[in-house]
Amino acid sequence: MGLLASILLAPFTGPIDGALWTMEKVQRVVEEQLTDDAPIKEELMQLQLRLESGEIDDDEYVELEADVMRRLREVRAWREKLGMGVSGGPVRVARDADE
Amino acid sequence: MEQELSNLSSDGVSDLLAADLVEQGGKYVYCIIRLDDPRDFGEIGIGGSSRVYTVHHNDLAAVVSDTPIVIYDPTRENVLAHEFVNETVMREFTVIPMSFGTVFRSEDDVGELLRSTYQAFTDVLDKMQDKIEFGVKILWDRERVIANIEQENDEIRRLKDEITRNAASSTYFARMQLGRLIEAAMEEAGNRYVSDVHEQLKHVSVASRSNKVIGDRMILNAAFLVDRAHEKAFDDAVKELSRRYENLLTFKYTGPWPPYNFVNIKLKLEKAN
Repeated sequence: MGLLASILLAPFTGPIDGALWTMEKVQRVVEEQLTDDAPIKEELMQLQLRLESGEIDDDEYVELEADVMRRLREVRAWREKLGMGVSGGPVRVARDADE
Repeated sequence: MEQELSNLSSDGVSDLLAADLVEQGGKYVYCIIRLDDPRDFGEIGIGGSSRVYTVHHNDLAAVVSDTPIVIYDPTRENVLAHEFVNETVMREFTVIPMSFGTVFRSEDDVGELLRSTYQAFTDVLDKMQDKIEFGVKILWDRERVIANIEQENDEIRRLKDEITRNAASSTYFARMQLGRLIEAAMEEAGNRYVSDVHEQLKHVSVASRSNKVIGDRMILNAAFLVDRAHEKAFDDAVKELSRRYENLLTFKYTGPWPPYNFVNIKLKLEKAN
């Protein structure tokens, strides 16, 4: 049920719908976290800075990078599962509906 | 699926696919240029030095290399390979960089990309003619900036002296007050440095874009679009700035890059199955 409908119907639907709404919200928050790669990419950039400044060496970098890549793939898999856009990978020019 | 053309983003070969199932015949696209005749850029491609060459439509060309149909992880190695190709092509051409990791299934699909986006590519190539991008990141040394602030700011110096002199009796409140004053003075100093940098680089660049800062030492993460004719002047201006602030700030100056931050064509792409 949409947010607006939930608010409009709130007095009549009462606690059960309230619980559903909360579930929807929780699910939305979880999905946002599972599908947001921005913090992971930021971490990757920080790693790069640490490598450049000599704080970590090549071997440490490779190890830490592997973990970041693993998490990026997880996010990618979730995005695909939920039908969201992903960057990179095999693509083709989208066919228009009337073609 | 909509995909941004410009953002350097994603991908090392993903091991999601078993090697023997990987389909051959894909084209990894690095950038779009204006070029009539086929061209070979050498064996510098992503994923093991494959040959980099061009796929044409009218006066446009996509710079590509052969690849299996895989997802490339944005590992340092892969990103550097992607960038190295673009840097090489950029020495001679104005380029529209493709976002990292974009793989088409066939040469025909790349041709279709050039055909369907011909006008937008042409417009952007005209706009970006002889323009290059430089990255300027500024890190500060907190200790030094604070020392500098204490020297310049009478109020802070007085309060600090007072706290030091009366170490035993100085109140928690006075310390809090000092901390707050220093925080505010630092924020003000950071803004002053950043706007000075923008002011000095404005005359030698066409446009700029500030990206989110990374980590807690960074106060500026910007990209500047520069006319090739002004490259030397831009370079001099950055060097002059880094001399001026040499005791306080560290300048990380990179480029020339293709205009990653200034090209934003939304390509109508969909996932190829």
